[in-house]
Amino acid sequence: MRVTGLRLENFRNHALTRLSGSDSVNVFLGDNGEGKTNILEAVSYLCLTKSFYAGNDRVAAQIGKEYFVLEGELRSDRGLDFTVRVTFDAASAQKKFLVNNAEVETLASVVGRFPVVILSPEGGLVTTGSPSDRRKFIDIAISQASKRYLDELLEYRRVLKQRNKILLDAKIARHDPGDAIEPWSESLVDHGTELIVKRREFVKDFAVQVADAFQKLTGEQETPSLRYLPSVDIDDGADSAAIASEFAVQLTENFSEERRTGSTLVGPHRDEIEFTINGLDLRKFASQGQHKTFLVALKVAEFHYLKEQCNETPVLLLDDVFSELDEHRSHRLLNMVGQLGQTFITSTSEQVFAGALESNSGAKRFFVKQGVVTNEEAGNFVH
Amino acid sequence: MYTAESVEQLAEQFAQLPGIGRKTAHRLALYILKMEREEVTTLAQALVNVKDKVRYCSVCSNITESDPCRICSDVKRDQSFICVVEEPSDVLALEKTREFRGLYHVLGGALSPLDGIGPDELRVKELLPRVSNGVQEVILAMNPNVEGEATTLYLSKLLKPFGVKVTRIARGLPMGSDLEFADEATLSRALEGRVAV
Ligand SMILES: Nc1ncnc2c1ncn2[C@@H]1O[C@H](COP(=O)(O)OP(=O)(O)O)[C@@H](O)[C@H]1O
Ligand SMILES: [Mg+2]
Ligand SMILES: [Zn+2]
Repeated sequence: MRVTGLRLENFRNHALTRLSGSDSVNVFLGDNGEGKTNILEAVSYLCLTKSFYAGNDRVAAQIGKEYFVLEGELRSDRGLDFTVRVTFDAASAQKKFLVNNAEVETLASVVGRFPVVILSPEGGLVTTGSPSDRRKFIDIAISQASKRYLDELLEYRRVLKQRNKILLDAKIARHDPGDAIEPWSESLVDHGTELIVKRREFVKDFAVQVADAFQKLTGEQETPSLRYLPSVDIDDGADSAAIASEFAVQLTENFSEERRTGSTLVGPHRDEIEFTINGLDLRKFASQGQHKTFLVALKVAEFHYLKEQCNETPVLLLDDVFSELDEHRSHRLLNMVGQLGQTFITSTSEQVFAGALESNSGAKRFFVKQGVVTNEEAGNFVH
Repeated sequence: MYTAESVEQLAEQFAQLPGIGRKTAHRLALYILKMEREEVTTLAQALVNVKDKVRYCSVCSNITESDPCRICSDVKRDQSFICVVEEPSDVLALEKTREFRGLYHVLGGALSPLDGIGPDELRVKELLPRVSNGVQEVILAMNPNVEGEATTLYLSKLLKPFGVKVTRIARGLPMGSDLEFADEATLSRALEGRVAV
């Protein structure tokens, strides 16, 4: 997939920005706070229906404006053109998502149609942060590839909330929840088992891709890996039925503790995915550089995974990543993304790109200043 | 604001209704103002009638004006099948298909602890005596969401000791939808829930 045209109206500090992207690398240059990331955020809205970092839509509408409109001309790998539009109206807090002028029924139905991979400083949490950051990472990746997974995930979360409410009410009132909790435990096991099976399968395949990307980036012989550590203790080869019965048993075993805490203590909402380099836990033993390289490798692997699963080449968004990598790895990364697909890159420094983009005749360079974007063909790329 | 108090009060009332915002409420109030007095009286009477005349069927808990309701007192309906649904509107939808000739039982919702709805808040205990009276099959037709699913699980366990056949409607393609256009998740569930023919 490629974004051939982009239009931002009243979005962040962009009153009205139109641009046509290059099919390969698009570089947005400018000082801090000029509006570069906002452009990537707009692409994120068009592909994922939401921002990749801000939690609410209201803050994305330009200050003093009551709405924003984003429009993208997207072309699929097979050459089909889509006009995708996101509109947000602050008064009603309504967001609409339209594909070729037809409003989609649910925002969730869009996820995965226009795959996107985002590498940003916030994304760094996946290697340094808590288990929930890693769960979020794999959930987004699998959800883009499988709508069924996204459905199961949303349903699991809803069941979990309902079940926790019973436990909490029972704790506060000091009464036995009785058989009222049973259907929710059963549902939790049903949906949870699906998640466990999918996550286990994903991590296994994905580890191979990460190792491959890592090797290409560093050229060194370090072996990164991923290990799935489900909260439900299961045997390696356990099938769905075995996982479900194990899950049910462990729920029962934990029940008195659950009643004491008033919340559900076993299940995919407590899974961990361990990242390792040479067998050592990344979080405990890795250097800053290894963290960054691992993160980039994760994203490159996600790109390949989505491309294969969605049958569509994802768009790559790289926000401010080159300031964090050394020159050697920056160049390797630039070369790599140039061959992957359409890429949007933001940077405060032209320096990184000096020389690297000359061989790429299709690359475009944009300058961003106070929400205004000007473009210069890469042919006149000066440095 | 330069407006009449009665209009404001009416708009206020409309705004309490589900799905009606301030703007629409105002527009409705002004529309009523323009209507003939007679039309307004008919409307007001209709509102009061709903409250005065409609009650719950003592057998199936559906809304009705005569008790038992028309379905429960229809001798041509097959007394050996009970279809359990969440709301009166579900009865309406199922009746439109003209497929089902048995009786209904309306629970008045689905289990949802977050909304304070447990088994005691639903008309579950009213269902049990009906089941013991020579019923062959209980069909659970809850909404395809997690609350409906939990309600199905709860009822099937509850009904087990009665030795009656309990089935649930297939969680699959919506009627009238094309396989081709069904989304992937629906399709895969439909496949999973397939039955022998
Ligand atoms: N809702 C908004 N309305 C107007 N300006 C905004 C809004 N949200 C953010 N901004 C402005 O956008 C700029 C940040 O844009 P960003 O794309 O993150 O910059 P950078 O070029 O550093 O990536 C800041 O100047 C900020 O004040
Ligand atoms: Mg930025
Ligand atoms: Zn009745």
